[in-house]
This record gives sequence, C-alpha cells and structure tokens, in this order.
Amino acid sequence: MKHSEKPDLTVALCTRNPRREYLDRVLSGLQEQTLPLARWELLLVDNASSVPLRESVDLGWHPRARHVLEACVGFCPAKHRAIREAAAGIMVYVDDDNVLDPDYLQTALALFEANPRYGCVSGTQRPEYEIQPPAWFRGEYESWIAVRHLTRDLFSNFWHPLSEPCGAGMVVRREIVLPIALRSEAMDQACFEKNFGVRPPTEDVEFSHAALDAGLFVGQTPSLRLRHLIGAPRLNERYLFGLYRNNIATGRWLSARRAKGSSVSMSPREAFREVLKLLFKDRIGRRLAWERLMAFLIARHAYRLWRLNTR
Amino acid sequence: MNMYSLSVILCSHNPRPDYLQRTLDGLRNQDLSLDCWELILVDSASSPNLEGSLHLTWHPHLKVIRNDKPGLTLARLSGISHAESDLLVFVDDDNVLSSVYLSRALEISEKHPFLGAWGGSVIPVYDTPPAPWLKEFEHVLSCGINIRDSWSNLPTISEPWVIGAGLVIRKSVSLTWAENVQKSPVRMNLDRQGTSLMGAGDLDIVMTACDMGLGRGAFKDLTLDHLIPPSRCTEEYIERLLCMNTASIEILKQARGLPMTQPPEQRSLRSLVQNLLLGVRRLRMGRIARMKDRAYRKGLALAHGTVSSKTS
Repeated sequence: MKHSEKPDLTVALCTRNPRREYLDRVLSGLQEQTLPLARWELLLVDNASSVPLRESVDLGWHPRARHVLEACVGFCPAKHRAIREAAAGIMVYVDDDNVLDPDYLQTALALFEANPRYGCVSGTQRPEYEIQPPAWFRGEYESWIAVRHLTRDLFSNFWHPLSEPCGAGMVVRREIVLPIALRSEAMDQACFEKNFGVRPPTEDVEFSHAALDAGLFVGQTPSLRLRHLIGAPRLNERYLFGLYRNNIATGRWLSARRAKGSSVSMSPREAFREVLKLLFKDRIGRRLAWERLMAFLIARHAYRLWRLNTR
Repeated sequence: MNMYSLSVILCSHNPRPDYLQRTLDGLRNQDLSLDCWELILVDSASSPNLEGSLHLTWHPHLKVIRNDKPGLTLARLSGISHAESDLLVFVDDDNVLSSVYLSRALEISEKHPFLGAWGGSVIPVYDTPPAPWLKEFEHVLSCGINIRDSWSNLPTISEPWVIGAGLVIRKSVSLTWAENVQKSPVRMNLDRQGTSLMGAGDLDIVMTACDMGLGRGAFKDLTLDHLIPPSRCTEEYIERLLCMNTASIEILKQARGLPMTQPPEQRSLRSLVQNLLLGVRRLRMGRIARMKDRAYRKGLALAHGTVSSKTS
C-alpha cells in the first residue's frame, strides 16, 4: 500500500530466531498502540533467522509494516539497517522481548515533538521473569538485563550513568544516528565477535554519544513504559556473569576507542583493589571482581586487534 | 506583572571594603539597563552597619536589608522574600561579575526555559601570586572554569557543578527552597554562619531545581572574578575549608536521603590493615597530599558525628 504522507514514527523490531510466543506478545503490544496506525510504520528486521520470518509472521494488520531481511548477523547491522530503511524522523527500537504499554508510541512522539532537544531517550522496563532470578540479583544488578525502575525524569547533555538510555524501547532521532548507519562498523563487530563470541552492545552507547555530540539531551523518563520478558536461559548465573563481563569489556573497549588511546589500561591501584576484593569480598563480590579483571584482559586484547585491523 | 526582569541579591557579612567596592563596581558596569533590575543588599549582621558606609545612590532600584543574626542562609532567605522579579542572581561580596553577566543570565533564562538554576565560570583573582600547590584547591575556593555548556536534572551533588557565586535561579525554585529549608534545621545550617565554613547551601538550592523537574546548568560564557585574599591561601585555611566542605556535602547528602560516603571502620582487623596501609601511603605522600587526605578524613568523621548526634 502506498502512502503519500511520511509516517511520524518508525518502530524497528530487530530479531534473530525469536522465541515465538514472546514475538507474538511483542506484536500484540504493538497492535494495541493508541497511536493511529497511519502515523507510524513498522519494520520487522529479520537478522537471518533460520526460518525466515517473512514466511511465518503476518504483518497484514498494519498498513505500513514491512519485512526487512538483514543477512549480516549482529545487533549493529540489524539496527543500522533499520535506520537506513526508516521513513520517519523519530525511531523507536523494540527488542523481540519488549511488550510496549499501549500509550508508548503516542507518548514517545509527543515527547519528541514537544522537546526538540531530546536526542535519545528510554523509559521504565518492568521485568516479567519466566523463573525467579537468583536472590542476590534482584535490585541493583537488574540493569544488566535492561530492567529499570524510574521514579523521575533523568536527562543530561553529557554522559552520565544515571541518564544513559537503554536499548530496549529506545527512542532516537533518525538524523542523528544516520551517519553511524552509513558508516561501516562491520570491521569492529567482526573483530570483537569473532574473537570472543559475544556481541559488543555498542550500538546503544553509540546512539547516545551521537545525540550528545549533536548537543542534544539523552535520558530516561518514567512516562515511557514497557514490559521486558525474560526467559529462563537468561537467568542462570553463568549467563548473568558472562553478560556482566561482556558489558564491562565492551564499555572499556568503546571508551578506549572514543578516547583514541593507545591501549585499554588499568592503574596499579585499581588492579590492587580488584585483587583485594577477589580475596576478601563475599561470593558475589569475588565473582564480580574476577569478571572485571577478565573483562579488562578481553577489552585490552580486542582493542589491540582492532588497532591492528584499522591501521 | 513584575517590575523588574532580574533581582540581584548581594549578601555580605563584615566584607573587606575594597572587595565590596569592586563587587559593586562590577554591578554598576553591567550592560543591562539599571531599570531592568533591582539590587538587594543584605547586610548579614555586619559591624558596623554597611548602609552608612556605602554610596549606592547610582542604583535607582535599591533595597538594603539588615539581618541582626548572621548566616548566609538567613541572608538569602531575606533577599528572596524582598525580590520582585522572576529571576534571582546571588552575588557574594567578593564576586566581580563580567559586564555582560546579567544580560547573559536573562538570555539563558529565555533560551533554556527548562532550567531552574544555573551558573558560570568562576575565575580566581589573587591579591598576591598564589603558591603553585593552591592550583589543585581552586575548586575548594569555589572557583572553576566551564569548558562547555552543560546541563542536567540528575539528583546528584555535582553534575554539573553549580555553586553559589553568581548563582541564577528562578523565583519558583527560590520559594520552594525557602519553604523547605525553613522546615529543616539541618538544611538551615548548611551554609556559612559567622566564622563557620560550612558551605553546601548553594548545592541544596541547585538540587531543589532538579527536585522540581527543572534542570541545572553550567555555562562557559557566564563569567565572574572571585577575589581571594592572602589569608585564604594558607595551608591551614585550605585544610579547614576542605574539611568543612566535605562535612557539609555529606550532611547535605544525608538530609536529602542520598548515600553518604562511609568513614573507615573502627576497631576491626580490616581497619587496622587499612590504617597501616594509610600510614605507609602518607609516608610516601607530599605535605600537601597529606593535608588533603587529613582534611577529607576529618570532614567525613565530622559529618558522621554530626549526623549520629542529631539522630540519637
């Protein structure tokens, strides 16, 4: 169906081999949006799923929905492809386990239209756990898996952990992130993913930095709400500590890359403190210190390889 | 409708006459027309009275208020209650505003309606060349240069760092702060009183803006000179100031329900090891680093002592 007018908002749902019942709930969440369908488009970016989603997912309910196939596997290629395909100036990223509240798109659009200075924003992510997570994990560590409970708006025009938007449900201005999508990031991805078998979650951080570089706000607001479905495989300790390690490693890697430093470094004092924690903390504290040290080694190695590749 | 665009509140307690004169000259040189702003001079229990010793007839909209009880918070509250505009600028008696300060503050107010409190770069101006070590402590003396415009509404103490010297706030923020601070004895005592060097009341005002959903900002082209006499450049004074700054920030954190920095544990194997390591570290430190470390620890202990005595 051809539309003469551009949509106001593009929803990018990037997925690879999704859990079917989760994807159905995500799509139902989108179907229930209060924003009229004519005002937003839906891009279902299939990141080379083994059974192509075009064959199994019916998007006939939405007149502005499209299947997009991105053959290059990885979060960055899929998210960047969505940017290139999007028709609207405001984009909302929805993961294949994010069920948006019915007013999510309407609120996001209103926020961005009323505040031209907002560049990159996310909201509250309420968890729906398939099984109970480990007791120690509840609370302060839940942010690892994109669970955030907000009570007030948190915005800044500089980088700060409190205002750092989260990738799940992220709303972003397309004009800001388009240069990133047009630049080839494949080498960075390949370098990290090949060597360590993990994806560097750099796309969210890069979107935030792009907004900050453009002089805009990044932040989080409780007025945007979604439900984050968290399956049992994502709640065992092995996965959680691995995720923590990857997050720290990629954060260090990205910081070094942005600072154009010669290497990822750790001061002797910092190393000494980590060793002390390794010796004297409780079980979780010891494990976290261990993962931070491992993350440092991973990031240092990855950064060296990246520099060799980019020379 | 308000009569003025802006109210300048100048709080002073036993000022150095030449510094106060330079502060007033700075105000007189503003490029904003005198009819657009009022000057409120709060004499905070100075001896002798300031009113008699100053020539202030150059300003057509002047109010001089006398507080018999000293204290910066009380002085600010008096100034707020007499202000007749929607924008308030706090100036200390040793701050010389750049000639465009007030007009720039007004511009920011119009351009950034989401901000509730903002400030600028505070440049230290010494009577005598300072010792090289003092450079490290300029932030303790309320000085700092902003290299870019930054703003946020984060409920933190220092991001971005906006202080009382040249602080610009909206009337709504000042009224909310005044109402809250009068209900809380702890917050009432967060600022200078006589010879006490407590000094976190300004941060409390700035954080009030964030509580109200407004932002706070630090701007690079809003500048003022902070006049610093030799008596404030001694190691002894800096140590005392650093100690009181640390203590008042910790007390502010407690009053606002933010996590306080914990002092080292007492009487445990861990504290023994820590003290041994600290002793070794101090031996290797220079004199100034030792002073800084000592002041910080004293400040923490003082804050925790004050808080526990208030709660018990």
